[in-house]
Amino acid sequence: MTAFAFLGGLGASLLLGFPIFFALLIAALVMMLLMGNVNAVILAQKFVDGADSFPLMAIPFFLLAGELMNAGGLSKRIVNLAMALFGHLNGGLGFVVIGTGVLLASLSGSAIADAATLTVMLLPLMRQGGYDIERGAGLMAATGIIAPIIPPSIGFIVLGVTANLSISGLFLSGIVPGFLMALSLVVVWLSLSRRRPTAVQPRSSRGQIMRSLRASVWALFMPVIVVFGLKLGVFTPTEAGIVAAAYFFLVSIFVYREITPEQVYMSFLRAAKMTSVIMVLVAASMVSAWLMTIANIPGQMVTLVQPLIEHPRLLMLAICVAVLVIGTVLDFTPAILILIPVLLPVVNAAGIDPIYFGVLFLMTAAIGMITPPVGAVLNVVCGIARIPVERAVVGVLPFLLAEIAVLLLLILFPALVIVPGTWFSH
Amino acid sequence: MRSLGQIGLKIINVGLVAGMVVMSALVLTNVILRYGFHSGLPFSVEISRLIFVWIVLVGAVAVMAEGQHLAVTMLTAALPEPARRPLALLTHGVMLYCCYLIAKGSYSLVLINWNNRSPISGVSVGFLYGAGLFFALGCALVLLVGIFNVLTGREPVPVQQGMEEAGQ
Repeated sequence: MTAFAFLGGLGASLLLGFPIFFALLIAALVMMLLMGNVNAVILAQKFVDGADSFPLMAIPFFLLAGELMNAGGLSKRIVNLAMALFGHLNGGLGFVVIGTGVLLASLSGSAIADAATLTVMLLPLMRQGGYDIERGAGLMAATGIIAPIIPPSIGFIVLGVTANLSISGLFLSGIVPGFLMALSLVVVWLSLSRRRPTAVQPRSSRGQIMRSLRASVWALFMPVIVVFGLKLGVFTPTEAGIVAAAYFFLVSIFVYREITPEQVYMSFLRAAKMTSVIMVLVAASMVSAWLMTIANIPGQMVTLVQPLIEHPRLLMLAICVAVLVIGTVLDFTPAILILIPVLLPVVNAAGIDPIYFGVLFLMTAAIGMITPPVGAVLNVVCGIARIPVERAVVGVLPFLLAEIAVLLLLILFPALVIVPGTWFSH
Repeated sequence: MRSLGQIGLKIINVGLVAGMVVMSALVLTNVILRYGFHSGLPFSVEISRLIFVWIVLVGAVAVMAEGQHLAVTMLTAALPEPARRPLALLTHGVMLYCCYLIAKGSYSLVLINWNNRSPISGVSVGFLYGAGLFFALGCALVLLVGIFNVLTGREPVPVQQGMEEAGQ
């Protein structure tokens, strides 16, 4: 009963256009009303305490690192490197997009920022080269959503704290699934460009390749430091975040020397505001999460899906379908905050590995961001590329299907996530 | 009145950047001291967390004023302007009530915790809940200005946008 009051209150206030964090607070108030005790002190306390967390401090640091990376000119050099390596192939720019996307993903954790960077830098080149722009835009959106799967990832930080799972464990388990997504895009792009030859860039000489490698080598160090720091337990994710930000700060100022004081100020400010947008959601969801526990909603959920608990694969499939549908409407931070507390007890009851579940959850929510009608990443790409969303929907379809195929593969063979996760974490 | 609001937002922006710089410096110094010199700043974690909470809640007011918090706009964006007006009044009113509750609760928490000190740094725990009070009062102010604008019909009712790069 309380579960329905919560979901009803939440759904109604979301539809009325409340900011999502207010919708979460309102849903919590509805539950309080139902339990007959509207307590302002508990509301305020859970809300403020929800933001008071050292692990979540990784969010501003990784966002800052991403901002500095873009402002300092690192992204540009990564594009140049991918261009020198793949530009001369038939359909080469597509491989440049995927290669750049994977590298950016290992440096930042934001799908929208990465998709925007790719589109700004590479779509004009695709236009000049006579590529099919719908396909190109679709590929950029589909590549952008690899960012939250390959560490670092804002989504995994929020998920780790919400579900009380190891953030390092989630980060390291995301590496292989992220590369599988990229691989599926390569396969699709390869078969698409066979059918339609495109203009190619001149082949780069070995000297050119070496030069662009030297220019971007500073960026390539970073994922190595983060992954080994986390794997060996040298850093907590929060410390990895500040080390990444400090590193990009130093490289921008002393090596590339392109960043202006104004850009540094803006990077800090934008990181602070984006942190607020995410964290105020986390804080508000802590109020409702606490009330849900009091009302034993997780217990009710387990009873509700009892028949599926015997069949973990079927259960995962059902969860992924639901998350995909919800993910088309809701950004993934709120999706994690609303759904994880409800789903986790069910998953635990079914004996599904929680880290595996976390990776698949985030992957599904990310795919939701390129799924019509509301896919947020798709909208950003279209906005920058100045093409109508309907056309990009057609363009993204083969890549969307490829990524869904990867998801199905991971549902059928959980070992693909769990086994590599143990290589990295021991 | 508008320029007053802009000055306020500018001060908030500078405060956010200053907070980010100090928080980053504290955590970074601690990492360097720990791995480089086997020592550390014992108060670093407590103070940086306090600053973090203030950044989040002060920043949330600024983002609120800019109308950039994440929202689902499927329905509201489809509504015609005249229908958006009463809806905006309703939602603003409900949000104002939420702010009232958070302000009331935070104020009590500030009073309760005023003499309650953090174990290492000795800073009053009241400061933590002060951030909640600032958030609630700041948001209430933004909402009141919003209600005023809707009633006087001076500006078209904006649709909540959602910050594009919200770390997704």
